[in-house]
Amino acid sequence: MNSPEYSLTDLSPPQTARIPGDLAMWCFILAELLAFLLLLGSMAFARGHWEQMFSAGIATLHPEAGLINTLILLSGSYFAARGVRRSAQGQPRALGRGFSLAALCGLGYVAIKLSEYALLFGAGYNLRTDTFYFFYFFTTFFHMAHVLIGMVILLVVARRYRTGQYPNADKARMAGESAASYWHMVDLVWLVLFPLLYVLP
Amino acid sequence: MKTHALEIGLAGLVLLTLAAWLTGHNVNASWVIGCVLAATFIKGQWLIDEFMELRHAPAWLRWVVSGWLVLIVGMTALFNM
Repeated sequence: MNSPEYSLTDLSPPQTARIPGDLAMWCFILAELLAFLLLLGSMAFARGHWEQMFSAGIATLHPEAGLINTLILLSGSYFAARGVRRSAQGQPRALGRGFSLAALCGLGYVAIKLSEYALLFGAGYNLRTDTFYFFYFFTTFFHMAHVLIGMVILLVVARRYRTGQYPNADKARMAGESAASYWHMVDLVWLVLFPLLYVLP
Repeated sequence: MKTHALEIGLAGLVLLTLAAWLTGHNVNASWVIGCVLAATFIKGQWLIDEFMELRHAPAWLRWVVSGWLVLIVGMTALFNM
């Protein structure tokens, strides 16, 4: 199909349970969640075990940056979900627009995270300072790498969608849902990381 | 109402985030940890059901992702309360 206008309205809403997107993407997402489970579980344990070290470390972070990044990622997830939903309701251009806005939110997140790193490095903190900073830099950098991967996936799918490179509406819908699911996984991980680093007293 | 479910959900997520952030920064009590973690679980489960659209997915997939959330929130509560 060379036309970018996929007709998704002929795909009736699912009457039975179905996986949103591709099963292969979900295998990848579940593997990623397992990796984050080990990392965040270790961090939760370390936070309780070295309470004073973590309290002192958390006091050097920038809580406003954490809050703004949370709001940015939630907005990104909203734009991606809205794009998928509206394209399924017969507005094919909504997917490209939604995914582009979500990627833009990702860019905002990365910019804020890098400026936070710069402030911390400038103050003399790094991965080797102590256990808290090891967990902080390692976990947030690992997460940021997933934000960047998610942005690339969203932009590639949005471009392929706009230029009509998917062979049919079903494949296009699968690709859109898969990309959005990956993006939501990145957001879900941040929702758990946010209180561990910026909220819990 | 249903046509604006995503917008209403986003507003709820933002309000819960702001409430948890303000409480966590202004009140230093053990019950705050419970409240913040409960808010985290509610936000995560909403994201799983509505943004990820797992509410209508096969039950095993929804339970695996929700189970992941329960495990992380549970471990945080176990080690920090």
